Amino acid sequence: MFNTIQVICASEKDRTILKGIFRNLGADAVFSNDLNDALSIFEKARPAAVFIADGEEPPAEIQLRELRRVAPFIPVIPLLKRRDASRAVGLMKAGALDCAQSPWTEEELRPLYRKALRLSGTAIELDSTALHRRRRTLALAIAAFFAFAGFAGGLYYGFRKYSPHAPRPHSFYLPYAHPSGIMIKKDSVLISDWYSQGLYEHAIKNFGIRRVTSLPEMTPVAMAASQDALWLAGTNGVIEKRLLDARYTTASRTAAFSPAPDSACFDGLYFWTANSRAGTIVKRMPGDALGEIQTFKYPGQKLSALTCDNRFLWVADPVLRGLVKLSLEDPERIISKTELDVYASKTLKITAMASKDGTIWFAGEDGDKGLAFYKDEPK
Amino acid sequence: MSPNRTDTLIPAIIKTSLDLPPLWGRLAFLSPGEAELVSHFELPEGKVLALTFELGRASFEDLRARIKKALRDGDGYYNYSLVFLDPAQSELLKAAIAEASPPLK
Repeated sequence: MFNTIQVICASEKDRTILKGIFRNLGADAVFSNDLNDALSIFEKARPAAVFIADGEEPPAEIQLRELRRVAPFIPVIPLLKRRDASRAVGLMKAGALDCAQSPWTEEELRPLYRKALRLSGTAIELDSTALHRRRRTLALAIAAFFAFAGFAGGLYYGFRKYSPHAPRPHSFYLPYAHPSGIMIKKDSVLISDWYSQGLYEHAIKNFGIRRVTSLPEMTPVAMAASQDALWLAGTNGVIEKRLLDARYTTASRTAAFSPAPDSACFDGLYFWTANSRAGTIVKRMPGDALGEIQTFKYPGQKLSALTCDNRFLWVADPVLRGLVKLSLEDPERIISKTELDVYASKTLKITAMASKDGTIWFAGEDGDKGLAFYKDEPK
Repeated sequence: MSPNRTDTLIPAIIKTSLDLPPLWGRLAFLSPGEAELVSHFELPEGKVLALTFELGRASFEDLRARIKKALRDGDGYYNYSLVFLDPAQSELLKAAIAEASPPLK
């Protein structure tokens, strides 16, 4: 309720009494010394009612008249200093709402104050029913939203936590059909394709192609990699050492080896090549010429691809239908043989391999499609 | 009483006894036999009052009435139902009301 009232009272003593009374009544009382003072702040104060202390100058009748001239509908209540019914009725006829009698007390002024504030105009109220309905609807909507969000969040969390994780695909079909070499980088896989004479860089997560580098002057049939270079073996038996820059700039070339290698790898110390038709593995010096150190006979059935790391040589053998592990010191000794389930496909032909961080990567041809996949290194 | 019409109601002086100073209030309803009085002064039911007020051009002094019922509203004002006691005064009142009331069409 709007509770600002204006009190016109010159007497300091009466003011003190009235201040206490109106404070106790909960009124926000604005005091003025006289009518002029009251009128000067009337617009600013915009009181709900005016209380006039009687017995001061100008008389209450004049103050009442002037106040009603400024604000015809404002309740004005003279505070009489003695009980004088005739005067009270006279003031009420002149427009006063009511008159308070002396002594001015909280009990005496309470009904007048409350009636005056109630009279301050038409009671204006929002359609509280509709407002409450809207608020209730809004609150329910918010509660429903949070409930749904919580439920959905819990469901999602539970789904993520308890549902079996979708297995990450371990094999990827390639948009070319004749992969010949594979190299694993930090977050990408580089595959050479002899038919399209290109180097394809794939994102390691989804195997999307990031970059294609054309190799118009050679047909790559094997690829090996070190920390700072890669080697590409051509159909003519020449192995090119290339830098790992944007264009794979050629750094050196070897003489043409015979038989032409179709697999190659670098174990960190020596360079290894293999020829699948001859079934031979050649250990070479890592220099530009890749000079031959020793040739070994593959001890398995058929060598289709070879790779190595700093511990073992790894061979894909389609006759043994598995992955053969050979010793770097004695490649003619099979350390272990692990069956590869991918050989269930009779059309699969593994043509390239790479070893990186305990994972063996394969690339090959499966019918008319190129395929890349990886397996954890056998224990 | 309609709160927003309070200051348009007829002011009246209320005498309760010869020994006490008169009180005041407003007449919320007036008929030749009954009236309703609004005042912030508390009076007991059954008490006889003398009302003085003006109605149109007529003045009434010391119309005797008894408080039939007293009800206090939420603001602390009292609504008194009064019954006029003097038939002669009621007749005068009836004439004044007839004069003050707008003619029926």
